[in-house]
Amino acid sequence: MALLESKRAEPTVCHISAEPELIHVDCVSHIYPDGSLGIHNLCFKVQEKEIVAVCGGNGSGKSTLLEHLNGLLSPSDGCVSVFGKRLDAQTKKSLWKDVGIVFQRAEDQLFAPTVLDDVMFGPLNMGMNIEDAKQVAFESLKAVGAEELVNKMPNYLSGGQKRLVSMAGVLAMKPKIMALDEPTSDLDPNHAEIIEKIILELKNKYGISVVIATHDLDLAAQIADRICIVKSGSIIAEGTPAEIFYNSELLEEAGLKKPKIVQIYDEFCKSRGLERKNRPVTVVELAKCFTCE
Amino acid sequence: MFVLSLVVLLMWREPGHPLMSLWISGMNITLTDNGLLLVVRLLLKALISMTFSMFFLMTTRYAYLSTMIYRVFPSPIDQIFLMSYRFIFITLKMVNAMMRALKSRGGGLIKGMTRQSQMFAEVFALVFIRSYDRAERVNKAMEARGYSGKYIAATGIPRIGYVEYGFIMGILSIIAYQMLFHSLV
Repeated sequence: MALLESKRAEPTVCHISAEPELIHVDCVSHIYPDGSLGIHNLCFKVQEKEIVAVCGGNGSGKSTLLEHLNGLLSPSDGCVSVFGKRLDAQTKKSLWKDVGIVFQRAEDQLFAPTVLDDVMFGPLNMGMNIEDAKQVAFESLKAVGAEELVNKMPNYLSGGQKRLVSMAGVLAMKPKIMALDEPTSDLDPNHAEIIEKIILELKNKYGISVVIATHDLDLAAQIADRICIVKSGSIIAEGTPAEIFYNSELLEEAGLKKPKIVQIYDEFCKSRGLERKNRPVTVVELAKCFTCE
Repeated sequence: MFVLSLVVLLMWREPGHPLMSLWISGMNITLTDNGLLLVVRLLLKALISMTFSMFFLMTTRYAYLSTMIYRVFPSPIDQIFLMSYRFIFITLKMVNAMMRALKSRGGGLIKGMTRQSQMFAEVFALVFIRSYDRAERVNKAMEARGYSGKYIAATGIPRIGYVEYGFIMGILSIIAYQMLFHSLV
């Protein structure tokens, strides 16, 4: 695990791996016009076909980081490279085609009179003709299981349906990377599970790399390949879910709570006086531990 | 009411048989039979236009209407229309939520004139600020999907059927007949 110091005065160390990187955020800082600090000296990477969860409390800089990946925000300091190319005014213009972003408030993303129109918006901006855009929109809605909503008006959709449609709207552009801001916030457990499955499908079926910004560590534990813990605009730790979620001090420092699976396993070991040999983070792994121990 | 407010000014200038006269600030203004006829005629025309517009709006799906506006009107009028529709709903929802929040904490619209005006001002200011904020977020979300100032309304509009054609022809025939043989218009 690469545990990084979060001290403001010292720049964080950028760990550049030999694996192909789709996005490389290199010591980026962002200061908002009102002077507040969004992110500070933050280094981050996204590799091919992986799910990275950026976890942190409210106001830690998760959403600011996500908006840098799509070129919506420009760094005040440092640089962002996508597919090996450093982002500048020219490369930023077409970035939206490769890096799709689903915002926290799905309602803000839906503005067209019908669901179909909204999902077609991205493909039409890409220069597709109407028939092709319609075809792609249908496919995307089907991929997220929302094909029955095609002619509905966004005003009358439930929160979960809005989230599915907003995901379809980004998926329709066939991006190589998808960034999802708090994908399960305000959703009931059923819809949260649907979103979870869709995110896994994005990676496994469509080969899309996914970045999720969340404070829902249960979601991150279930689906993420890699976890980055953000605090005060900097990544203070990075590693696999097992490495991160069994580090109580780290989670406490970041103002986060252990995922339920970890809590259950901890309690189980404590009550039985067992040593924590395994570090389960998913339901399946926990079930295996119970049968073994 | 809008038409009436204009016609009230025009009706005094029509020549014809005088019906009544008024002295206002040393000025003599006279209402004639033609002036009164002008009021009735313009009000009826406005009523017919409004009825047909309402009939059209209430029997046409918004998605079709927006596509028609996109095809017919020049930019940015079409863009403003396309964007404003959803924002009306969003703003109404916002006002409703705010009023509910006010009522849930004992606020309301029956606490006296001063308090009521103050509350209206607060709600109006908040709606303005929040709408602006939301518009920023929507714009950001649109930019993230490649929006660069042109929104394309692409809903397919079904072709006009034989019944509709028959209806239009019928209406046109009646109008033509009236114009040619009765000159009522």
